Formats: sequence, C-alpha cells, structure tokens
Amino acid sequence: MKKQILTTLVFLGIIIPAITAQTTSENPYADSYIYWDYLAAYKSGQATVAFNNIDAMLQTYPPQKEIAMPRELALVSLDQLLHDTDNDQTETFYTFINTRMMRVLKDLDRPVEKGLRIYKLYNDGFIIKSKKATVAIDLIPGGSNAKPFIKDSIIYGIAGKCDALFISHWHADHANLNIAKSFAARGKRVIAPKGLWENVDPMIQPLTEHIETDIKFDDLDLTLHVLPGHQGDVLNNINVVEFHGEGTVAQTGDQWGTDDLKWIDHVNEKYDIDVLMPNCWINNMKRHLVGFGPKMIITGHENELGEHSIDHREAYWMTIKKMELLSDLNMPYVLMTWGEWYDYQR
Amino acid sequence: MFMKHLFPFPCRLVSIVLLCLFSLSSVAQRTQANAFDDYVFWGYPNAYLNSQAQVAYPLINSMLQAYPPAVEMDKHRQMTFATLDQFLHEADYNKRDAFYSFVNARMSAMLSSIDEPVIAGVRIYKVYNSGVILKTLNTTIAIDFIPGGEAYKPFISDSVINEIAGRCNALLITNTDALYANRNVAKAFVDAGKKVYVPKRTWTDLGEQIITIGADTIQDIELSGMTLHVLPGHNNNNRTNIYVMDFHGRGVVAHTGTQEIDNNLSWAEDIHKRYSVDVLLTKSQTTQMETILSDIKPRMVITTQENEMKSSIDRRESYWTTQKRLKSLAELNIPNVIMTWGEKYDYADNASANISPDATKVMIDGTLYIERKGSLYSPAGIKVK
Repeated sequence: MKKQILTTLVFLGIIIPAITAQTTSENPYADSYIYWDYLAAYKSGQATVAFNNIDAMLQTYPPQKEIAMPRELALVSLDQLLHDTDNDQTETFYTFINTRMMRVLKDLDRPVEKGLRIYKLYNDGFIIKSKKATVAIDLIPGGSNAKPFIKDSIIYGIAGKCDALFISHWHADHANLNIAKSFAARGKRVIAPKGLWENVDPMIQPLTEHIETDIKFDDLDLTLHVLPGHQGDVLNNINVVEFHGEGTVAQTGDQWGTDDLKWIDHVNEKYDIDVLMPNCWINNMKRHLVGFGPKMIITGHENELGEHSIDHREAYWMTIKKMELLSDLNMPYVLMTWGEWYDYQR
Repeated sequence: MFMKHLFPFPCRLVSIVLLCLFSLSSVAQRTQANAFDDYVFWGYPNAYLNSQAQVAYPLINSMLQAYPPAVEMDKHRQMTFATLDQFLHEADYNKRDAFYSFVNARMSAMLSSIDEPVIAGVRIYKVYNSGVILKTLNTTIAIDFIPGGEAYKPFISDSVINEIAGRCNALLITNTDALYANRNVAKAFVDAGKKVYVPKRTWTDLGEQIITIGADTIQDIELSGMTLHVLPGHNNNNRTNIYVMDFHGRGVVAHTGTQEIDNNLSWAEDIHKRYSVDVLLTKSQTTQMETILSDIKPRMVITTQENEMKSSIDRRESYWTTQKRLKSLAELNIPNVIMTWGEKYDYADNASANISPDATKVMIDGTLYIERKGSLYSPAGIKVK
C-alpha cells in the first residue's frame, strides 16, 4: 500500500509540473503565430479570427430575403464555432456577442418612420420597433447569473429603450426576472403567462387565465393578442402584437403542442399576420406556417448555448434546410443572427 | 449484476440478444441515409456534425471558386479560409465523408483547367501539403506530389494521380519522407513514361526512371523547357533537395521542400546571390520566414504545407496563421498568395504585356506570340518586335 502511494506521488510529481509548465509557460513562438504544444492558445486564436471574419461578413451582407452565399457561409462558420463547446466560455465569444448587441443598443435610437424594424437578440429574444412603440419579447442576457453573455450595461441599456416586455413562458431561456423588474421600475408593463411572477410588481402582469386575451396599449398605439399555446404542460403565450397601421407580428415562444394545432390552423382567419417569428425547431413547422399565414418569417431560437448539447443547438444551416423543404409555400423568410435588424414594410 | 441474480443463464442470454437486437434496430433507424431528412439531430451529435460538414464543405468550395487566389486577399476569401481551418482542425475531420468529397471537388477543379495552355509565365497549382504543379507553355512539372491520407483511404484518388502523371513531364521530390514522397505516385509517373527525380536512392524496383539527384554542391540539370538547379538543403541531419527551376524566360521558381528550421541559413543567401527568383514556394510554418524572404528576395511568395492533416491540431498549420505571419512581414514588400488544395495562380514575369485584356494571341509559323499595341511579345513577355 505504501509502495502504491509512493509510486502515485512520484508519478504526480512528474506529471503535474510537466502539464503546468506547458500550460502556464509563455509560447516562445507566439510572435511567429506558431502554436506547437499550445493547443488552447491555437484554438483561441482561431476562434478570434473566425468570429471577427464572421462579424465583418455579416455586416457586409445584412439580412435579406435572398441569402447571399458569403452570408450563408458566415452563418455556417458561426454554427461551427458555436457547436464547439470549447468556445462557450471564451472571451472571444463574449466580445463577439457584446459587439453585436452594442450595435443594437446604438441603433435603437434611430427612428422608424414607417413599418416595423425587427431586431434579433439572443436565443428567442426580439425587439420590434415602430414609429410609436418599441416592444421586447423574451429579452434575456443569456449565460449564467454569474457570467451573463450580454453585459449588464448593454442588456439593461437595451431594455431601457423599450416600452413594454412580453414573455412567452417561464423557462430561463425566455424569461428573466431582473430584466422584467427593470421594465417595471421604469413604469413599463410586462405581460407574462399565467402564474409567472405573480405579485412581484404591479407593472409585471401575468395573465389571470390562459385563454385568448387582448390587451390594449393606447399610449403605444398597439394591441397585444395573447394566444394560449403550450410546450408540453408548460403554458406558452403566443404573442401577436398588432402595431396599428404598421404591421402585425407573432412570436411563438417555445410552442410545441399537438392539440393546439387544431386552433392554430385557423389563426390566419382572425389575424392578418405580417411577420411570424416561430422557434426554429417548432414541431410541424409547415402546419404552423399555413395556420398563421404570415407574409414573412423570421425564425428564432437558433444556437442556444449553455446547457444545450450540440445536437440541440439548432444551427442556422438547419433553418435554411428546413425552410427549403417548405419552399412550396412561397413564404419569404429572413434568416437573422444575434444583433441584426430587418426593416419590414407592408 | 442485477440480471445475474434474477435470471438463470439461458434466460440472460436471450435477454441480452433481444436487447442487442432492439438497440441495433433503433440505431439503424437513425443512421439510414434519409433518417435525418427532418434536420432533427437530438441525441445524435455525430450525425449533426456530419451533416454540418456536408453543408459547409460545398459552400467553402463554391466560395473558393468565386474568390480565387490573388495577391491582396479578399475578405470573402479570408473568411472562407478561416472557416476551412475550423473544419480541418476538427479532431474527427477524417470521419466525415464530406471532407473526402471536398478534396475530390478541389482536384476536379484543378484537372478541369490543367489542359489550358499557359500563355505567359508560370501557372502554379497547389495540390496537397508541399505538392505543387508548375506549368508553362511547354513544360509541366510536379513537385512533392503525394495523395495524402492513409494508404487504405487516400485523400487523392489513383485516377487523379494517373491524370496528373499523364500530363506532367517529370516529378521532382525534395525529400523521401512520406509527407513529400509517395511510391504509388512515383509508380504512376514511371508507368506514364515520366522520370522521377529523388534526393537519395529509393524505389529501385521501379527502374531507371527513378533518378537520384542532388549532392553536397549545386547541380544544374537541363530538362525539357527548364534548367533545374539542385541545391543541397537539410532537414536536421538529413540532406534534402532545394529546387530552383528556371523556365527559360518564363519565370524562375524555387521550392524549398522540407528545408527545416536551423541556424545555418547560408543556403538562402546563396539562392539570392545566384538566382533571381520570381516565385518562392516555401513552408508556411517557420519561425525564420523573415530571414528566408529577406535573403532570397523573391518577387512573390506562395506558402506550402498548410493543413497537413497527419499533424496534431496545434501543429496543423492553418491558413489564418500563415496570413498573420506574412502580414507581420509586410515591411519586406514581398507580395504573397495563399492558396489551398486544387487552386491555381498565374504568375507572369511581365504581366502588363501579357495578361492585359487588350492583348491577343497570334500564331506565326507555328509559334505563339502575344500582340499588344502594335508590338509582338514572346509568351514569356519578352518583346520580339
């Protein structure tokens, strides 16, 4: 037994310093961009180059109905990076996402004269801005409380430029109480599904019943129509936001309910949806598209990181493929990533 | 353990067989070619990565065709390279069929243009690793051409090797290491009636067409359409060949092969003193690139050996590191072109006279000339009249 312990200690005494020396010593060839035996440094350098290239290309080729080849490759390149879990916690990733969100923060000051400007944030988060109102849906910072993806100064800056917040359901990748409280503190209304954040603040207003509900915002010249959806047993508000005279958008949250399809088939008979924002992995995408009958589609929820394993970090290229399968519907779609916006006019 | 106590052996055996059959059938269900037609990969990360590669590689190929090699690297091409680097630095890259399809597509692109006459200067094709093909109007030479991959699953197929061997005048090998020399390729050249020049005696069974060249002093060898200067290089203690190829007025190209980092760079000084090198083909991964470029003073540098796939990820030299390294040497004012597999670049030593859109090709007494603004030029750009 003593011999075993001694052998183990000797082994550890050799191995640990060797590993430590390799990982902590300075790469002597760093100036020549040679990374022999410095794998982590290599990967970090590669990710930095790739994120920067992607960001530049996405700015050159902004969201459009017809996706240009360089933009498509930029999105696929981003998919590859975001499906390598080594990149999840890297500074280069945080820089990338915060750079893009900072652009949203700045652009929110730019007025919308006509129609709607739709911003895509992280995960299923969207902001829709009209001439008279700026509305956020499922706005979250991502990451963990200890280290959110989007810096407080940026995400709360963005929240500060919005007039109302609508939450689809209670899951943490859609609902963040601190963000909701920041709206309430400024006297802005937060509409949440039944049972979420009850009695927290008078301005945070969960529905009292999970039924189709119309809520008017006279000061913002819009009406929110909440449709009672589900993700399994979870109550999921489908938020249909009617910006009077400018356009109507619908965001489906994490809609995944087979029974709901019966009434979803008829949504188009009641609402004139301009832009539908479904979760990219929604069940039976075709039936949802036909049921809502939108004039245009912008998917959400691609590349949710955190605890999602790579097989369920829905890639942008998958959305392209899924939409190709539905091309017979002749519904244009715009594929967007974090920190982008698209101007929609009827 | 739980089963052992509850059931007798025959029962356990039947249960195990049934369990295996069930498992296999459910796996088979999702591993059929069409099993992911819905693009839902939940529970199948490897299938996801396979499909991602199937999407990415053809896009990369299309982008490379849309944005070909140029001295100033376009940002589209830069992003394409960075994306390719990502995929080629994936640990399981060689388990993806899409990778092999990509290499085939790149080789097809090369073969589709290899029969086009090279009117001016030298056309440089990058094949794999250190492998290149140099083509002038009359001469086509392959250097360090290997198929890559494993013998049982090479990156470049035998048919492509045979096509190339049939079109080249000769194969030059700088080093007999497997990353530079391949017997199957040499045999294809021999079978096509071509000579193979090697730095030390090897493949003797392939006959007299395998010719050993190189010595401790410089050798000059006259080949079809070119003079080959063989310089004595080294890779650690092993002597290797450095080739300086003078294509008789069409350009001078140097290939340093596997010349390895050492403190003695007098070989580079010698090249500069003796030869006026137009294009230097040299290993991308070196800490002494500045010295090599300063000494040789080529008019252009094209790097080789990026993404040698047998290297570990940290040593698998990427295009982005090459670009960074060359960018850091911008003060030398030596233009560079970064190329990937199957790409071509036309170097003309008198470009303004030859590749201008207002130039025309004319045949006089069976000889090709370039006519431009009332003057007649040789294909190499030398004014004739």
